[in-house]
Amino acid sequence: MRSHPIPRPLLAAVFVCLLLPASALAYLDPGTGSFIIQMLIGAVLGGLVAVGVFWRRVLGFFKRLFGRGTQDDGKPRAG
Amino acid sequence: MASPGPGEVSPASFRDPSGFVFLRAGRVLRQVNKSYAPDYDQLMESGLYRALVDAGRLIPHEETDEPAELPDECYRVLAPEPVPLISYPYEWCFSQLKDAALATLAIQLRAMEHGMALKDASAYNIQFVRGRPVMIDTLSFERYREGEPWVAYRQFCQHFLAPLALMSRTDVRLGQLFRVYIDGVPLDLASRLLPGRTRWSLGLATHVHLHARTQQRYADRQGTAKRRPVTRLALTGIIRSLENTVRGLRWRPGGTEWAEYYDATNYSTGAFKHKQGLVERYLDRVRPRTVWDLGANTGEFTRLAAERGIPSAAFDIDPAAVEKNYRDCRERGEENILPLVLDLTNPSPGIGWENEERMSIAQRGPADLTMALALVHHLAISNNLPLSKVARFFSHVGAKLIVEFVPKTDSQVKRLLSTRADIFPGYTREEFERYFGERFRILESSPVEGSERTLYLMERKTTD
Repeated sequence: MRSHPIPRPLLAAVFVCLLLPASALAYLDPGTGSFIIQMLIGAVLGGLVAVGVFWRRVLGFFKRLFGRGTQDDGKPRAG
Repeated sequence: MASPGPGEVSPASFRDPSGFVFLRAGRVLRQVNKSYAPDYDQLMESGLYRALVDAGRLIPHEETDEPAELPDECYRVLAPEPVPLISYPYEWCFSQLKDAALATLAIQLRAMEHGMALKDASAYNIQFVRGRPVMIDTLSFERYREGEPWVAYRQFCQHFLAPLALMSRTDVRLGQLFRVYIDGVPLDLASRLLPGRTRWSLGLATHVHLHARTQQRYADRQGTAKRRPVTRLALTGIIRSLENTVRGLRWRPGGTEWAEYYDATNYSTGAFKHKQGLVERYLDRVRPRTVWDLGANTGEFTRLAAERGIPSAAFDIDPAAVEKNYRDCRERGEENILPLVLDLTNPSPGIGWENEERMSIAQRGPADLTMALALVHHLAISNNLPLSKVARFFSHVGAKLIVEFVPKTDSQVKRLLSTRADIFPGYTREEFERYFGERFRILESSPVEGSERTLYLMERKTTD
């Protein structure tokens, strides 16, 4: 078995440090778990936004093609 | 060294090193510290401030020449537009909290368009001004750093999503958890209290249940996952997902339609009309600057004050009544009514650090005029409160008073006494006038036609 060039505790400490700088910038403790979950779910949820944008473009293309174009992003605003 | 100004720093304003709120000569001012200067400049110069103020999302302010409270650290002193009555999330009905949540997310999305982000998402940063949820903390913005997660994500979930989900899916009364947990409902608690079927809702499964588990998993071991950037697109996806989840949460009293619920509880008689006329006459006589309507139900009588341009709060213990009132205000665009949930027998106390961070309801008064219509018999008979104590409470919360006395011969009081012994020999009109007369001058009294009730207009004598 090949020994790891960097000791594991040191590696773990580096990962911890990588997680911490953003926390240090915030006056609230954002919570490690709350940061990590955003990394986990962000790609999927961002992907859904991208699919939505793409889909609206496709719909817009066909609406324009058949002359029923409306200029509305369809996003209801809160409040 | 410059000396501190003669103002008083707000006890609620100590967490954020960017600045603080202070009071001086009755004016609410906000000091912006030098450390926050780059963020403040970006807020003002990027067009974000103007966009949010124009959209009614952010409280407008003026930069003033007022001396700083802590001059060594000061960058600017701001005079924000005053908020007529500060309210707290544990006093809001379901839809008020929901609208405040959606406003917070809309502000975050708008901020990202201007290269900024919310650095906190506290429900206490939102206040209802002219009927709409408005961000009052001008220092809540920071420059957005590409790739950073949303630093306020946890706070948003604790302050908005978890309580809304609990109110919607478990029991609306769980909104009161806010009074115990000042930084919002812990997500592990919310996850346990929510019904199991909420795990099938993508939004709640992700932002509450999975979020709670992730927090627990990384609570005592600082994390072993690699740090990956959260791209702008990913962050937008998270905010949009929160928005959709919040929009999907609804609440109706007892699962009934609104009309059914209120048909069963409202009353409508000739006496009601006459009472309205008397209240209008009293209001026109004393022309109060502010009104607190205690036990307001859905705010029928509060509207008489609000229609006269008087900023009025409509307090009621029933979350459904407050919900109905708020929805009506929103639909009709009524700007002068603030409906709030309040149990008068256990009113909002001072909470937080040294019990001073969030004010008790009494500290937020007194109102210029208090209304207590069809209320005293509930306090005196349902809650065994001596009339002397009722009079004392009213003298603390308002300078003038419109109060209704409902005698034992009234059907409503008979109903209250039908299931219990009458241990209230002192509950008479004479005793009522005697105890209230100790604290108030009776300016006018009128019998309510078609009933045995009496309406009084009073003015406070003492304020002990």
